[in-house]
Amino acid sequence: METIYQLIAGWFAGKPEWLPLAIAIAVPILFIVGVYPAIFAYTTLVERKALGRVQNRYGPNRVGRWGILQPLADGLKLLTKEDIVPRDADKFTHFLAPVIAVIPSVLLFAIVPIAPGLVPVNLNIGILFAFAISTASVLALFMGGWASRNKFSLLGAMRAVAQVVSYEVPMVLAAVAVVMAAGSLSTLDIVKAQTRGGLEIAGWFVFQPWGFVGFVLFAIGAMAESARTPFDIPEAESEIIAGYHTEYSGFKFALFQLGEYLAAIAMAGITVTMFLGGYLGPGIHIPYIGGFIAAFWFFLKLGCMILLNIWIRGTWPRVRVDQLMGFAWKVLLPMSILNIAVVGLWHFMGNKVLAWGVTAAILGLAFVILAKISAAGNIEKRTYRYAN
Amino acid sequence: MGFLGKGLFQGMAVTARNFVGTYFDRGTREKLVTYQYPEEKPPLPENSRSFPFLVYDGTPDAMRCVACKICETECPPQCIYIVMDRDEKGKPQQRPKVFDIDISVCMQCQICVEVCPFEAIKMDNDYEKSQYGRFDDLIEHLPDLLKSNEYYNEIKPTEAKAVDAKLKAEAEKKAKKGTSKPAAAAPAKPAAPAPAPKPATAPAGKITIPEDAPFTAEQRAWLAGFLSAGGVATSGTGVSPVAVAETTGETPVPLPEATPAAEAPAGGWPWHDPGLGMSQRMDLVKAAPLADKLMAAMAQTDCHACGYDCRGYADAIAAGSETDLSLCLPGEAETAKKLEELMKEAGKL
Ligand code: SF4
Ligand code: SF4
Repeated sequence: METIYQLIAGWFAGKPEWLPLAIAIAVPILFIVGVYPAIFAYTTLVERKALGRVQNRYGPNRVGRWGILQPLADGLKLLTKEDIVPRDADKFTHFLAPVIAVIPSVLLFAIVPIAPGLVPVNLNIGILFAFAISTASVLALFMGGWASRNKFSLLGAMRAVAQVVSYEVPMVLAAVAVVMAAGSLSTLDIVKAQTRGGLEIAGWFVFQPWGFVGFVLFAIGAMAESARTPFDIPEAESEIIAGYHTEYSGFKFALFQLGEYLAAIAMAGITVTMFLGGYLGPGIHIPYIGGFIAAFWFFLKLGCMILLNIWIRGTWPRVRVDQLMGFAWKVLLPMSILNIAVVGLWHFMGNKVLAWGVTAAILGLAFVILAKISAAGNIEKRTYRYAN
Repeated sequence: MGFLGKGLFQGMAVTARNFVGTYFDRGTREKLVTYQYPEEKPPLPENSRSFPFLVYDGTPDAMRCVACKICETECPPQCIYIVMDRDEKGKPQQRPKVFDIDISVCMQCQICVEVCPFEAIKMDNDYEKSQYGRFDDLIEHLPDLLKSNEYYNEIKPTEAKAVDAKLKAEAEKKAKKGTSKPAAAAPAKPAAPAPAPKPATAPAGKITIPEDAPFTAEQRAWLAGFLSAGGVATSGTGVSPVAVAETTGETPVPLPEATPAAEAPAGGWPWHDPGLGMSQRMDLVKAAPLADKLMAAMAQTDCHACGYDCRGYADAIAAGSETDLSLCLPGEAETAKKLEELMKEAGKL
């Protein structure tokens, strides 16, 4: 926003003073409202096609060549569908929930930088803002589940709350490590902090032992927070129909879907920003086109994260509720707390190569121990009497 | 080496293999199994079947169907409707004028195919029969149903070859004999196209109780007495010797007071049952007038191939107004022979 303002302020000499400011505000908003939903639309298409391929079939390929008009057809269908509200539903809350589901997801994009200096809002508490906002989405889920007056919806909503609250903790702690290393809460500063170390790529946090652990923790947390497979128990269709959006149809349902996907994309964007070096990549300092190259790198990484998400969704089974909770509190939480200590160690060790080895050893050992402990709690292998 | 989460990565490898594999499938359908239906169709197994069609040789005019209506009678859901073609004088043409099959009712059971003595109706394997209308559009008429023998050979080569060979053998046999039978009535199938199931446990006119039935000797004796008494009582009423014949599998000796032929009303002929063999039917009418005997010799499908119903044909022959004895198509050679025999016996030939 500031960058745009500085860029265009000069062009408007003699015009009313508010004009450049208004434009500088409008452009990022239009960008967020225009580009990310488009990414969402095509994410659904790519997801369906990729899941199809994983399952040895084609996926949508009938509407337009390669099915590229499928999102349009889906949208049209959902728009024209009847909007059904249960008779006993709390009508106002029922109406409000899908709207609220979308808002935090859109707001999340405000702090995701896509090129040097180009972030819709350069908040100096960017990461904090992101967590505050993303947790608000659980409010929408609970509102939807409560207002529907349907026990499955309510069950789904309860699960959603429990899950988001549990996974929020290791996720925030994983982010704390990054904030400690970068020394700032601003997303732009975090990206800049990853250029350290001469080599562009080696500076990315994901290539430090603690950064890798943080990346995995954060990615798992992000997946759980946006309720995507394998953490989609709030809408586990085989158990509780569709969870909190059981009673939603037509475009309200589409809004829930939109909110969920936008949250997933935004979380992927934040993951890229915090661990994968954001817009960093070869060629971003070339004059004039460097900004575009940076944006290209950012969206490439974003796409890879989304594809990883889809791949995981196509592979892993849904975890059980007790496993879900146990995993968050017994594995992720200790790991993330240890990770914070390790970052401190990293910070105070002068020799970075030695620090790399030491921190890797500590974290590796911790992982093995945690694995042993959690495996000890497993129910022993079941033997089937008649299946050979 | 096992570590926490190893299975997750193995799973990811499997899905990745399948994902990439779909792009290198090249039509083997190992990794990409979908048939994109309207453009691609999976090959049908030879024995697949959808709805019946009528076979013709050469031109549609040379259809094999003689409108005998056996299939119409036998079709379990009664979805076939046949009207025989007649010329201006009203003489039957041995071909259907109307042949409709309501495919919304047809249950694809193939029974019409099994009972047709003329190899005229066969099961198609064309399953794309969707229509826009619910009623009339789903009725297939004669032109829709007629398909060539070549088509039959194409969709079901093995079966069609066997049929062709059989028809050829019959044609040769007929040519050798030089009989004057109508050309269309080639095959020599048994007169009873749909044999009624014969009870398996009843040899030699007596109801026997199976050896392994759980009865004591006393009960056995009583049961045997009861059953045979029942049989006698049934036929004694003169209502249904056929019922007895059916249960025993053999014709009971007609009791003196049970001469159904003498008093049974016309049309209520108890042997009107193509499930009985010719000799059984003849036994039943031993004491009956000539017209009844003739009637018993008919195939009794009331197919009108002869231009009468079965009763009418028999009466006409007996009265001398009909001299052609080979008009009963479903009865084929057996009926013709028997008619001749009976007429000779009666001294009318
Ligand atoms: S049984 Fe065969 S010959 Fe007789 S009417 Fe049916 S299709 Fe025609
Ligand atoms: S297949 Fe069965 S139901 Fe269909 S026309 Fe033939 S006898 Fe009738």
